[in-house]
Amino acid sequence: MRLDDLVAEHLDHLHYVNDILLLQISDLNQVLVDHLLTRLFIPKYIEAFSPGANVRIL
Amino acid sequence: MQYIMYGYCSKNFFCFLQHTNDFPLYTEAIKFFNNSESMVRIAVRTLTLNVYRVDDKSMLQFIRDKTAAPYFSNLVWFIGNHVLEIDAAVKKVAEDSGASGGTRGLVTTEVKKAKYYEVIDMTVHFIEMTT
Repeated sequence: MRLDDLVAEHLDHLHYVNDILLLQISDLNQVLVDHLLTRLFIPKYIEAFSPGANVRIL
Repeated sequence: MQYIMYGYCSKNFFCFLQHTNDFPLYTEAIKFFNNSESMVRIAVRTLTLNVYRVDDKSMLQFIRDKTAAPYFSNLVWFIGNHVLEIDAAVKKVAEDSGASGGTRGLVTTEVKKAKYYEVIDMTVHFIEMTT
């Protein structure tokens, strides 16, 4: 898959997550945000900035 | 199905939930979240958003208790996989360009072309929303 297509699909995912969060259903948002923080932002995005980062799929 | 797709959901439509304690329309649909056909994936996203939008406590309780954790876990896992695929694609662009001095420029051009700055913008927006 080309880089453009991968990024376009990733953007679709992000817009979808944004749409869910904007509905402001606190119960659902809490579950979604927990998963985003513990399985995506912290292990992949933030750890990627550390020197010698070895990002892996959880 | 079309009613859900086009946003004609109502509270009355979901009253059967209280009797059956199941919601096959939703639970079956989310199984196709990562279908290979993009139209199917879009349909599933539209359906789930329209279902969430309906203001029915018992339905939202059902979704929260029975499906939210596994569904969002899958969603985040797929997003994470995509992040790693993008990472590999960017590295491949750098490798394919060879060891010439223009590597950084080429990668930067590819990343700009792919609108990756929009991804970064959205990601920062989410981190702000979730913390």
